[in-house]
Amino acid sequence: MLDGKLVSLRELEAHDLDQLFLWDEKEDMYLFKGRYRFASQEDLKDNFIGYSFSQKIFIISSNQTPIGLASYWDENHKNRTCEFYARVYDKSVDPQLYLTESLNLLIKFLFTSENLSKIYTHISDPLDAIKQVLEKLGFIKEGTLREHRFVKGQYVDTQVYGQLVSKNNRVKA
Amino acid sequence: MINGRSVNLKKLESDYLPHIYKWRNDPELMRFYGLYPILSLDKVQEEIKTNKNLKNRLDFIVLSKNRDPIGMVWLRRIDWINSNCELNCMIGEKNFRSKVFGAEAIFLLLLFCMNELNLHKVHAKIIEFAHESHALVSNAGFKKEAVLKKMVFQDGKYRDLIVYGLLRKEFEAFTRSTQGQKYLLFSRQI
Repeated sequence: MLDGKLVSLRELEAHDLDQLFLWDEKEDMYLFKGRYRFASQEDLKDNFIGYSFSQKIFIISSNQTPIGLASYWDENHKNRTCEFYARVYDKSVDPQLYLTESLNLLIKFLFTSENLSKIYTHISDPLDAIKQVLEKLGFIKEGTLREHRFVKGQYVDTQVYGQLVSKNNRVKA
Repeated sequence: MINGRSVNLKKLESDYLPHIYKWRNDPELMRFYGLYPILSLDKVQEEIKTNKNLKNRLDFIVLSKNRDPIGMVWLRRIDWINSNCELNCMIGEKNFRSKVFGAEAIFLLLLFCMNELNLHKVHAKIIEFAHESHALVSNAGFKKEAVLKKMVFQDGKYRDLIVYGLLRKEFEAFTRSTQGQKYLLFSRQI
C-alpha cells in the first residue's frame, strides 16, 4: 500500500473487477490503453488474470473508495526502465489534484523501491488531462509516434513522455 | 520462403540453433541490440521455442543465395488492433554485414508486413550509436519519430533509443522508387 494525503495506491483485488468493468464501459479506459473493449465482466476477469502476470496493477482510492487505476509493465531490469499508466475516473474528485498525488506516489515507488532509472508513458488522446500533470511533474515529451493507435475508426498519433531518475525526484517524490 | 535478389527469408526453425547461438554470443554484434551477450545453447533453444509460441511475434532466418544462414529478421509486438509491429534485423555473419543484405532483408520483411499481414505501420527502435542501421531504415523510407532518452544500458552507459516509423502509404511510395522497383522485381513468395 502506498499512502498519500488524498489517495492510496493498493494492489488490485478480485472484488475491484466490477468497478473496473464500469470504468471500462465508459470507453475512455480501453482507448487509452490501446486495446479492445472488454465484451463482458467474464472477459475482463479472464484478461486481468493474464495481465496481472505481466503487469502490476494498483487501484487508486480515496477514503477507501476506488477512484482510478495505476499500473506499470515492461519492467526491464538491465535497462532499469518501465512503462506506466495512471488515470482518475471518478468525476466527483478534482482529477488533476488526485492524479498528481497518485503519480507522485507511483514515481516514488518506481524510482526508490524498484530502483528504476527511467519511466515512460504513451498518450493518444489530445485532450487527455494527464499531459499537464506530467509536464508539471517534470516529464519531457520525447516524440510523437504517428498514426500509432486505432481509436474510434481512425489512426491517431501517440505521444511519448519520459522521466529520468534524479536526486531531486527521488527525494521530492 | 520469401525470395529476393541477394537474400531469402525463411521461417525460423530450430535447425539454425548453432548459428543463432554463435550470433547471440557475439558481444560486438549484441551491443547494437541491448541484449545480454552470453547465453547457453539450452537458453537459446528455449528462447527460440518461446518466441515461436508467441502470437505477437514472427522470426525469420536470412539466407544467402547459397542458402547459408547469414542473419535473422523478426517482428515483435505485433499489435493486431492498432495494426502495427516492431521490426528488427540482425546480420550475424561478418562477411555479409554490408548494407546490401540488411537492406533487402528489411524490404522483404516490410513487403510481408504490408502485403500479407495487412499492417498499417511498422516501427523500428535503434540504439544511438548504430549509425549504419539509422541509414538503413532512413533509406527504406522510415521517419524519425522519437528519441527515448537513456533507454538502454550498453557499454557502461545509458544510451538513447531512436524510434523510426513507416506508414503503409510511405512504404508504397518507396516501392515506386527506383530502389523499391529493383527489390520488387526480384521478390517472390513461395
